[in-house]
Amino acid sequence: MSASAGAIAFAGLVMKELRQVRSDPRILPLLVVAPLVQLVVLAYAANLDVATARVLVVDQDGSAEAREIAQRLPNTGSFEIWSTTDDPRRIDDALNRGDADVALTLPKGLGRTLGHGRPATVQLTVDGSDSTAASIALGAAGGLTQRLSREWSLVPSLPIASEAATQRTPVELVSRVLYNPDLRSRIFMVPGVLAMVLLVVTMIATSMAIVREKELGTLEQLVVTPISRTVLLAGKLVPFLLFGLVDSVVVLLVTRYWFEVPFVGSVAFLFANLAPYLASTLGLGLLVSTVSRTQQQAMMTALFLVMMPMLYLSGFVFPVESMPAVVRPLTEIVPLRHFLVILRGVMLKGAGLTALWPSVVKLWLIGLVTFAAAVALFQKRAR
Amino acid sequence: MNVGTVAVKELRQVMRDPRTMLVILGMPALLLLFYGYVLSFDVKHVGLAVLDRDHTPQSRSLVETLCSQEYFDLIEELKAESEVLPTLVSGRATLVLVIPHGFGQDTTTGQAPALQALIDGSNATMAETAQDYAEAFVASHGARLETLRAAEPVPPPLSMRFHVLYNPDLSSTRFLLPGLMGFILMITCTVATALSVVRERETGTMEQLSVSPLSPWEIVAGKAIPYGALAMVAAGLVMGVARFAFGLRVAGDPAFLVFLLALFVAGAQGLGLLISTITSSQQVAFQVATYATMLPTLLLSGFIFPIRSMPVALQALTTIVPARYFIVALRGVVLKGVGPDVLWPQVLALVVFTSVTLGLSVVRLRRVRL
Repeated sequence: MSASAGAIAFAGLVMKELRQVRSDPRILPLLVVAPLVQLVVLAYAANLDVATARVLVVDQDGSAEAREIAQRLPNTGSFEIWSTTDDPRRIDDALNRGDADVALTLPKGLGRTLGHGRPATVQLTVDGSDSTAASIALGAAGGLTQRLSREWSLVPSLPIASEAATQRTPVELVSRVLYNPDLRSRIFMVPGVLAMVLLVVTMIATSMAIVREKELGTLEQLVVTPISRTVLLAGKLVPFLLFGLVDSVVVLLVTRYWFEVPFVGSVAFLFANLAPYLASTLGLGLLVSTVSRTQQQAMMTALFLVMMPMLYLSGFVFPVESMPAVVRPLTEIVPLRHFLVILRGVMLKGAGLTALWPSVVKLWLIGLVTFAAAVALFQKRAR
Repeated sequence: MNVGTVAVKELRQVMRDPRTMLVILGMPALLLLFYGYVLSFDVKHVGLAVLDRDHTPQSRSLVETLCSQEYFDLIEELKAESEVLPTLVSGRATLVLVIPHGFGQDTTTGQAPALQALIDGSNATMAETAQDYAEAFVASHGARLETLRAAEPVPPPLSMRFHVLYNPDLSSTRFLLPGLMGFILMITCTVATALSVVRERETGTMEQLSVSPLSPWEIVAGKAIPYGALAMVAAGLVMGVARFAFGLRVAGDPAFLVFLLALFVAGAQGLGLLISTITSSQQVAFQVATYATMLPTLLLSGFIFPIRSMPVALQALTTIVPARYFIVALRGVVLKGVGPDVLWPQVLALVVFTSVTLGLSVVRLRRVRL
């Protein structure tokens, strides 16, 4: 077959595939609706920011000092007062029901002890079940205690002031947060949605489309036509590649202008690295379709063997650094993991090749190997 | 006793297909075992790079303190300031500590030297935790220096005693496990039940059942009981994995826990039955079942993402996600050890969910038959 005939056959296949997508009531929602729903729901729901902890203040003292401690809690930005009481028996109930997240006990005699210049202790009872929220509450409360301590030791009416005033914090740490100074977790999560959307569009849709033809027997018909296998395969994959690219642009625009996630780095560099990522997802889609006979099997395999590991092992939500040492090497073969590093690096930090080359090399390697293996297996099976 | 007949038939059918049975029984526990290890919000092994401009024993001892536990891993010792940003941009380190010249001397003479921490904030949770860790380590290091120098340390006027309930080690795995159990049970129960009914429809045996003198109730119950029993065994295995692999002890009443599990499993089966009555092929049933269970349970149940941090409209949407109530109840029983006196709203919501799905599927089944 000549090159021009190949080109015509290829164009015909792409047109056929696009027409088929339009006529299949199941694939179109997968390509158009799923990305939008994913983006909106994931971006709004996938928010790891910890809400302010609700405090039950148990004030058994009623002194000005006790009131000041309670009033200063909300100023830390990590607490809101849920209720105030003088009955310590309410603590268990409020925490058990989950009405309050922490309880601050200001014991009787607190104001007097402080007034006499003696050290006093207050107690913070924390619901530890949500460990992230609990650690943040503990940190914020500890910080407030230190600040109050420092301020009160400077008040001249307190006898210990003369010694404490000269005493300064032994070592001070000045922190500066780069790239995301407000520490909004959405900025970190939303770029990941782009990668997820592409995964669904290219991997699941591709495998479903191919297996569908297999089920209907039309794939055999295509195989026996004089169209070469390479052209056949390209004709199958290119439409989904196009969908993937269109989806990427739309998702990126929404990310930038609706969710106001900064895009610091080079767009060209990002799109250059979309290539190996898409090669890996299309390759996985092809692999899934090769090993499945029915659409149901394809869906199952795609969801449980590809999608779920990708979600959990990529650092999309759960940090790879914290995984057990046995699992960490496993994450290296997950293409999404490296693509996420590149995506987040380019968008949030303005990183380029000099900074990201290890991930770029790994991603290209995985993409090429997956794609080549998938094509080889597909052609072997098609014969 | 017609229910029993259908149940026995169903059970025989399941037994004949050992692969399906193995999947229903073993899959939940296996998934929990694997993902239980992976899922964690604990921030550990944070990449640390140090720009030590001081090079004194004091500065080295500070770095040693920081890396003394599993929270920080020393990735790199930087030579010049120009290396700081590239280290952060490439993501090799999350936190760069700059120790100023004269740090060692200042600490010995009692001056307060200021260290600088530059933190990669792109991952907000990790950045916040890394900052807290660094501050805590520096503070404890400072306190130790202080006690070394001062003959008689002055106690601070105000101190706080912390008392952490339910999860004293603050392990996020303990928090995530109940959610993961709900997630896995929801998907496997709903999907397995939906598929079992639709398969009968596809093979035409459902028609035979419906022309028999059995009432829709008896068909539904007969289908639900064997799968329910299998799901309860699977749930037992899941609890076993949680107990022996992850050390999760049930703080509350085991009988109440079994009741909760049974209620939730019944509801998930009802949902599966309902899906099977509105779909015609196994494939569509599978798709509907996974979409109806997976995404809401993953995103809107509070399993991973705190509901209180969501926009109000989305918070309202979470009220119709059954797993939301189950996960709260499960965390209550397992972690806090509370009972029905506290958890009755969740139990009520699950009762509503179960009766609505089971009731609707009976109604639909009756209509399908006419």
